[in-house]
Amino acid sequence: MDYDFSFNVVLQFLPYLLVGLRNTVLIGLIGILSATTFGVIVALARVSRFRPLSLSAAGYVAFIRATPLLVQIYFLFYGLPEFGILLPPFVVAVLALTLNSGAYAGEIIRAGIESIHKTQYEAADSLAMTYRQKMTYVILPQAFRKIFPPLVGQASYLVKDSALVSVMGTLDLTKSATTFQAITFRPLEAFLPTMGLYLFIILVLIYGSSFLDKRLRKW
Amino acid sequence: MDLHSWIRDYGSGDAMEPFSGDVLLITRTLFVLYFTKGLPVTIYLSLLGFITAMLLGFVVGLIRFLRVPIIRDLLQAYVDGMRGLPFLMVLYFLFHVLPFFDIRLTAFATAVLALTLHTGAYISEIVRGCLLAIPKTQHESAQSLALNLRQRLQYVIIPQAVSLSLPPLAGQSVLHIKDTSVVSIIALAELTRVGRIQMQTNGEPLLTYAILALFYFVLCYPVLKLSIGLEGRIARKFR
Repeated sequence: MDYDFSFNVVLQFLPYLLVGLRNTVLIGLIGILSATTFGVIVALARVSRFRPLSLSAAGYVAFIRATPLLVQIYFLFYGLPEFGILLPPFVVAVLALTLNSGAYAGEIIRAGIESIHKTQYEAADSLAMTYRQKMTYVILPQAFRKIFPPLVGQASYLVKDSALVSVMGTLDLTKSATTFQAITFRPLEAFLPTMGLYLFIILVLIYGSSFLDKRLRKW
Repeated sequence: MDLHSWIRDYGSGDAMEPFSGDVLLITRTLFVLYFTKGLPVTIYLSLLGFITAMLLGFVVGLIRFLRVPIIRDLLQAYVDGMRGLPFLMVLYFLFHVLPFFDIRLTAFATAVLALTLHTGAYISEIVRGCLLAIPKTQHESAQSLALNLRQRLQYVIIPQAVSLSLPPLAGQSVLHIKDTSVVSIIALAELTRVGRIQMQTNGEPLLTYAILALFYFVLCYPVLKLSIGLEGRIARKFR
């Protein structure tokens, strides 16, 4: 039980940690935005009356939910070059997280869309709105207000999942920690600050989401 | 030559063709290896890890439900810690830090420990949530029958909470099975690891990972369906 924890090593680690933090935050932010956008598309496809579209969206969601993210990342990272598509790991990371979280976000958004009362659709129809107008001005704004808390929860999952992109060499928080650990052989100095940062980001999202949940319910 | 440029060269299709390319043979080998080498380990890990996580989660959830002072705060910190950390970080931490404190576990034991700690925290939240969902009147009527705390929990509260907890538990077990793929990182030869090793030797990443995904799909999809079905049943019951 004699591990002399050294703050000097932590100070040495700091520049690498900050690079990792920047990349994790970037991946998280871009990922959350693109996953939500993609989620809207998935949700609209799922509630579509055109059967082939809704069925393929349902199949897509089932596939994403029933296979591990790590396999999906490997599939993209090693599979895309087979088609001659060469992307930097950072882009593959964002892409993988978007495709993965987009399916989950799509389910949340779909639940939101379906929870909007039928009369809202009818009212929009009676105003002679087109499908696009109906969705953008009437249905989606109301749906988003309802599903905002679970979406924030999904965002926390996305940040958590983003640790997995380190396996393909994206320099995120996890990768900077494992690299530093491998060089210095000092796991505590490398992992504790990293875990602290993850805890901070993710718990803020989780508790932020339950706080929002309580707030939005009062409306 | 570094790996990435090797992948690039191979992907662009010029010059390098180091592998046999016999797709049928590769497919057969993959199926055989996944089935005989990877799948048993993944199933064993999933079952063992989930059972221990259920035990841990039940105890933690119950203690937090009963509001046992001090322990409850410690457990809250544990649950928050696990919910706020990526599973990969938990795994790395245990794998690299435990040996420094003279705790030498095999990769398998480390994996089960990490899975138990991680999934256990989520299950404890499910257990606590389901216990809290039982209406207060049930507690009061049990009390009015002069049942003591243990009897109240054993005969009145927990049986009702169990049926409530089945759908989220099934959902959690899907997440658990998927999380077992992450332990391939610490060189434990389960499904994903087998796939990765095969990919490096057969040069067919698409095929290798497509079949790998198929194995996980077959494993997870029925449980996912079960979870959705149970949810619907409970929703109908409480309507």
